[in-house]
Amino acid sequence: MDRFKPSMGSISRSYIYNLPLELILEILKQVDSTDMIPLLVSSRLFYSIWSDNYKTICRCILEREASAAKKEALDLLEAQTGVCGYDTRHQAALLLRNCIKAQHTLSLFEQNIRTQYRKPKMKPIECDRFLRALYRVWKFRKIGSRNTSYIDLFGALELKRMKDILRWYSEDIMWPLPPGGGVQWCPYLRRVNAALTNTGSSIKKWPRRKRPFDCIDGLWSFFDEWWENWEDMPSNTKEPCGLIYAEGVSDWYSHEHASLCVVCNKVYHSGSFRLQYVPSEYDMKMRMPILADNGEELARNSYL
Amino acid sequence: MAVQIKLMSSDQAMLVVDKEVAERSVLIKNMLDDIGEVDEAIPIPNVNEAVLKKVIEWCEHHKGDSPSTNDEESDSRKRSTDIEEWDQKFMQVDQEMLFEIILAANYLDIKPLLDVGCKTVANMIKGKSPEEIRKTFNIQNDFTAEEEEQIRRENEWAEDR
Repeated sequence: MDRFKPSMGSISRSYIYNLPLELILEILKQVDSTDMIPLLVSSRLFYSIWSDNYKTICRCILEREASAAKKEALDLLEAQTGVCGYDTRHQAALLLRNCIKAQHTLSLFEQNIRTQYRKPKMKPIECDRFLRALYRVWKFRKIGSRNTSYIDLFGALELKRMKDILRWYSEDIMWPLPPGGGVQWCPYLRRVNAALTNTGSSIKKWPRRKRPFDCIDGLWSFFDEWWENWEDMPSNTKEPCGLIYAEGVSDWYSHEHASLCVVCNKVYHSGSFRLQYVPSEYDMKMRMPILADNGEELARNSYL
Repeated sequence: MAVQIKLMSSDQAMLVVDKEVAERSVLIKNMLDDIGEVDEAIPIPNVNEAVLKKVIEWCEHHKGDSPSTNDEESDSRKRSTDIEEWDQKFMQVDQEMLFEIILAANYLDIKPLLDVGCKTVANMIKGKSPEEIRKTFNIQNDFTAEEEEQIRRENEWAEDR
């Protein structure tokens, strides 16, 4: 441990580098993926512990940060490396990088929806849903948009969540483009949309819950509020069984979200409506297409 | 009246605590199970009085907690920042004391306290640059610039195969 000497002028007798290696490993196991690289670069001590224990550390990161999306994270890694698991340093580094990117993306999404749509902080289950869909989108991107057999495996709800992420990527954020151009998400969005349409059954079969009209909630299928639009859907706040049960429900969806306004008793279809601001309820009533029970359009938004 | 036991710190200070509190330590619990109730103070040779008092304070606050399990799944959803408010205040100590608590928790085999200590250190790292981490923990940079760059490349932006 001589090489991990304190810098000059220190007076404390207990330093992090004086802890037994197994205790420093315990600390590394608690460090978030986003903080891992700066820590490894800060000292040979941490780097050597990482090098000797990257599998253990990665497992803890995966359990903590990907929890419900662990399978999807490993699926993506397998698609990236061609090998299952993270036995090598390269695989572990890639897994770590994926976790960092996933946390950054989640953070960006949350920041985006909080500032743009005034949503509250996402619940853990909502983060889990987001991360699962995100890893699936990344895997789809990795294997290529023409490889639709991958997305054909998913039910409508899972596809809807992938679609929400792809739409957010392609519409709602100014995605920073690396040199040489960024990822073109539109082909992936089109494929997911097509797969989604193929799975759909008529949305009219589903009983709608009467609730104050809130179109924004309906746009993001990661949120608990989105579930509450349906009478018989669980609010699904329990994990992980709730999530698994919920994601098994697939025969319900057709095209876009719609909800019943408790005030005027009309079904509001969101269609391909793009929200760029938070409209008032009055604005929404005036601008959204209003349909009668027989599906006839009674009024239409001026800018659709 | 609760059964009490005596603990002797490394600096020969004797502390009297409820057995229930002391048994948050798996080491002490196993010792008491083995030798039964004793009048003599149980020596805790690796922990001084100040640290032992802090550890006992933590054990007293958490004496009613359900025993920790080894099931890592149960805690897997918690982020590093997820430390109870009381524990956060408890851990607002200088670094020397923090590391002493971690060492004591490890020696006395108090896993929840060890976790809180490690999470506290992890939180001290949160959002910091390598230089800030070195400054926080008084660490010298023992990498060359080339080595540092290589580690960054190797870990952060490893190319997909």
